[in-house]
Amino acid sequence: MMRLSEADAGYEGYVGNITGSHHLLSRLIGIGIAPGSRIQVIQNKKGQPVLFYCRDSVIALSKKDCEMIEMEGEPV
Amino acid sequence: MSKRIALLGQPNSGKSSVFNGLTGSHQHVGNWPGKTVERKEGRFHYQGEEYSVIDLPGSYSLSAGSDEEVITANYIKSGAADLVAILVDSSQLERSLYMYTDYIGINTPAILILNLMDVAEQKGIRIDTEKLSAKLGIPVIGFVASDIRRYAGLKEQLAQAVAEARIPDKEAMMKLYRQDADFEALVEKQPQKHVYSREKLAVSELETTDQGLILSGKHKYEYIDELLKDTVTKKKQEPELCGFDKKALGRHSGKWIAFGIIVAALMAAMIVAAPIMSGGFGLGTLISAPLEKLMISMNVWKPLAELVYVVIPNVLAFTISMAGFVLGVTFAFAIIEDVGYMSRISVVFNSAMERLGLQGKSMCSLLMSMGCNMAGVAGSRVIDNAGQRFLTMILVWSIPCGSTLSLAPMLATVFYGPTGAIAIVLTMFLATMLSLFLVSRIFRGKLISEDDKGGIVMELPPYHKPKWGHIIRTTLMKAGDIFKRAFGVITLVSIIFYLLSYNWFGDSSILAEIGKFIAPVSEKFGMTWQMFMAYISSMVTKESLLGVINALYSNTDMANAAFNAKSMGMTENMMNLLPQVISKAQALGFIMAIVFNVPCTMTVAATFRENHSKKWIALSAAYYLGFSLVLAFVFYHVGLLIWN
Repeated sequence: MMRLSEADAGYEGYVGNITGSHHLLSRLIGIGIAPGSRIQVIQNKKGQPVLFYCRDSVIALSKKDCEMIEMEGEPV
Repeated sequence: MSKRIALLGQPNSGKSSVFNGLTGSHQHVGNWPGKTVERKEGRFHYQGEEYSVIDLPGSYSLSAGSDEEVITANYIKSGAADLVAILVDSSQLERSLYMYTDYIGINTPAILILNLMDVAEQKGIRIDTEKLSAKLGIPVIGFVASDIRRYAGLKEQLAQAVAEARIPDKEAMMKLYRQDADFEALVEKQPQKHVYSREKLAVSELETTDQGLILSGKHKYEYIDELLKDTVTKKKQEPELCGFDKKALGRHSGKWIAFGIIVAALMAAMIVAAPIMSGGFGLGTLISAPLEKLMISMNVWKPLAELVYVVIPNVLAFTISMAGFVLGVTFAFAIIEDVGYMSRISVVFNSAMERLGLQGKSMCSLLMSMGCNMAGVAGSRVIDNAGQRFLTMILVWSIPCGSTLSLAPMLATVFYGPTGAIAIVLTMFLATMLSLFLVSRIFRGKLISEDDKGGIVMELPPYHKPKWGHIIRTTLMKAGDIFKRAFGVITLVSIIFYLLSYNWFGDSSILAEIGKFIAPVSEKFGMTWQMFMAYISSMVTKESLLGVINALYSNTDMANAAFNAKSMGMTENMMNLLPQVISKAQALGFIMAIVFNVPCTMTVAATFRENHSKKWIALSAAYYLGFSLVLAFVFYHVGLLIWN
């Protein structure tokens, strides 16, 4: 199982399951990260939030929260 | 009765531009009841009919989360609006239509405004608005909020939408929900309500569980994909950072670029503020002489007369200069925000802020504080959870502000020369780091609940040209607001300080008597009673401390001198006097004490306005008093070791 936090720049995939507090889930979904959303990782550097392209936008998400996002090769 | 139109949209959807464009100068800014969230209401006329426009706080969804979301959701639930205008970013439809899907099932008529059509066209996105409108069941219009020529047309379309009163079609989306086994039963369970349909209530209930929330999110985005499939065509493009962003978001280069831009911004802020500040002091001097003459000619009782011609001109001067300071800082940072750079600062400093229990967005607040702590406190509004926001405000108090940054090196130069001054400024920055760390250690556990621990979740908007009209309007509104509030607080505090420092007893004041009484204690911290009084006065405004210390040592009327410390410069007299009466060791402790003392009354009042917790504000004030006295003690004794 690959997590978004482990994906390198250039990786493309689809959001599988997401976990975390209700508050976090609500914020993730509100900004476009839901099961089935396509994600292209733009930058993933040590000690910095992961930058990725998702649903027409560039999103910055802290690494800790990226651990909560499981990635799939195909849409779920 | 005028018809009510509510504007609903995610942050960055251009909602405030549309609000300003529609209402112009006919707007009223206040707060939502019981909350520190801004409530903006305005009006416009079309064909003799009046329409009032309510700017709902920007939020990502209608589900209850932040204060903003609760306010927005409650307003819509109340059914007060005749029409809800939902704003979305046309260049990011896949994401921004989420707000619309959250609205589906609500029985208040709506219109969808596709803003930023120009940006979408540049990106090669073509949207068939008629087809989209047919699918949604409500009017859909393309719009460019920055183009003032379009507002006449928008008013017409809004008026028409109010008259037509069309409600979004819910069946196409609910079909996706109905495929789930339990959804029908959930709908049956719901009561019949006026504004929310039973389906919408069922969706809301579904979203109360984690699994339900995820499932619902999935359905909503599936529906968006379905909507866009045959209404939008776009060029495929590779997501890539632009050349500047590759540097601006780099681990090290990003920090240097941010540092450079902030220094430039603070300098620009000073250029804006300087004429206003000198104007304020000029005005103070201008009115003080005529007032003095008037008071003497009317033979007013001396303490009262002095109150009028010494305190009032100075209150005016201080308030104007303070507003100038805030105006400059707010203006500079509004530009950085508007062009889209602010979010990059948040990204590069995110990990540093995480160490303090915060997230990247707090960094902007701390940086603004280097200009003015008050601006930093107001700037914390971008942080989307209450605990992190309050901690940020208390951390702001640690940051040496513009006046501290000019006072401390000046004092240091008098005692230790230029080289010594540099060493002291460096020590000051190290102590700032220490204080940030300590405050976070002490307060984070209590202020930041498990729910508030969220890291950064943020969109990086593409860069664009600054919208000057919008920037200038919001900056002026904020500065005007601060001027009004500051005037009251500064007047009150100044009168109290005046009464305490007035020479009631021939050649002594209440402050002086208290000072002499506690001198044995203050001397432990390396402060004579005169210095201690100056330290206390630095809590009112940092600038006043020079006047106080000068007055006490040169034995002139203290009240007068304290209030006449107009410019932050020092007289030559004082430069000669200070090293004679204060030792190097004492000065070292004193400088540290005034830098880290509780910030000016205005900052404390501003913090209270943002977060009405007396207890936590008192505790933070206690911390800063304690911390500054400990520093005074330590540095005084270190000084004794060095110079004795």
